[in-house]
Amino acid sequence: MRERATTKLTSPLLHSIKKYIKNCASLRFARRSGSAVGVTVTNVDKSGQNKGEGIAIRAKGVVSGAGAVATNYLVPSEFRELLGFEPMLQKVKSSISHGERAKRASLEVEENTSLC
Amino acid sequence: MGVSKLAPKLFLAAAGAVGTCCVLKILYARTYKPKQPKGYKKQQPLSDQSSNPPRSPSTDCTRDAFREKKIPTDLDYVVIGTGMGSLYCAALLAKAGKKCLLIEQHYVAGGCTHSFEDHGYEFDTGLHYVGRMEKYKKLLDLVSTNVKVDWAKMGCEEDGYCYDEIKLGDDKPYKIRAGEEAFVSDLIEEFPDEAEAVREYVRLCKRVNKKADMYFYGKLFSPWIQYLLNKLVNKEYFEFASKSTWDVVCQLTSNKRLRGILCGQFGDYGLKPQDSSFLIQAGITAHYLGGAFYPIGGSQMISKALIPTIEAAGGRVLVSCRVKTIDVDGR
Repeated sequence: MRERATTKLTSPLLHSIKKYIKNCASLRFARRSGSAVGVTVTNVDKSGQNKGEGIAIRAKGVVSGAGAVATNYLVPSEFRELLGFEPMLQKVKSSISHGERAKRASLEVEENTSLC
Repeated sequence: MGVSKLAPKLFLAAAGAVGTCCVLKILYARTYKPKQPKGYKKQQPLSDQSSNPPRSPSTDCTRDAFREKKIPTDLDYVVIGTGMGSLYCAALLAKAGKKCLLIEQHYVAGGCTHSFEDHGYEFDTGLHYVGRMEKYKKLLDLVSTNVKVDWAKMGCEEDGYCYDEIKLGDDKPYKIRAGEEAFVSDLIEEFPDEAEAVREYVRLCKRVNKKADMYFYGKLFSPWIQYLLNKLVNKEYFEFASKSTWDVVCQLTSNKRLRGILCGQFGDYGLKPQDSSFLIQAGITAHYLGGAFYPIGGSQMISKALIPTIEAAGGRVLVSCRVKTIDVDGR
């Protein structure tokens, strides 16, 4: 069995970043609808089509849309449009939670994502 | 009461609130046991797996195709997507000893830092250069323990490490050299009558950037502490964030060419100066004042440096795999 990296977070900076990520990723929605405990995935072939049956993967938590969540968290909502982030966030969000592909795949990332 | 007297009390209150939250969260995590989701018994391939084969050394870590047998056992986290946010988040978790599986539907990991080759040429998909390397290299090196990314300074010694060229109309291109002194002196040399405006612009950019740092630090605290900090300390940040780049630059100078050069870096964020907040313009200007850098070997080197950290903790980054559903416990 390979050795697991157990380096302690000694740097205050790293600690702050970890805390920040935890803060931004543990969405309040998770409390309402339950915590994410895994995902069901399929293989994708070269043309981008799903291949084979779904495979369930279990874990203690699921992190999704890390970049979108971080941007959403960092940029003040009142200035998103002015700062040029609004179109970007809409684009990212649509591919995860509101877009057709997401609907087809029954993703409810906004409500289900958690880092717990 | 002045802000300087109030600040220590605010921080003490914030520390107390954060501490209480942490204790409550630990107690909650110890007492709560999540239920399995509906349909879990029908699909449980992992229960049969006893081994966790490591990636073959010959396989490119950013192109490790998904196979059921490659899924690590006893996973702590599944991370969807392999953009920089996901990779860095997973690498931090790996440093804390957590085993993560990253899933990417594209055939290459890395998101906007991935690159590809066509007809012998390599193309980047997102990153073109990064500034403040003395700061960001440390952040990257913190989580890339096995492979380090080396950065090359844009430009060369002869051209003063020029990283941007701004061309307005038929005028000859204006070169922006690395270093605050070079930035200011070059502009003053080009516009001797506008020395005060140039100095004021750089001073403003640095000040607004500092205020932005304070605003982001506030994000570490709970919403009501953030609210207080925003009302007491971050007023100036909000003031400049609500002004457009064009408005601020027009207040500083009436010289059209100088305006054009000062706003010329708008290409880095993609909005016209009339539409963009001065906050983002100040951030970009201050970010690149010391020069710009590019990862040696291409932008893909960043993900190649982060993935070994994730794998060292027993995790894996698998591509060509699409998430159909996120399963939630039955609460």
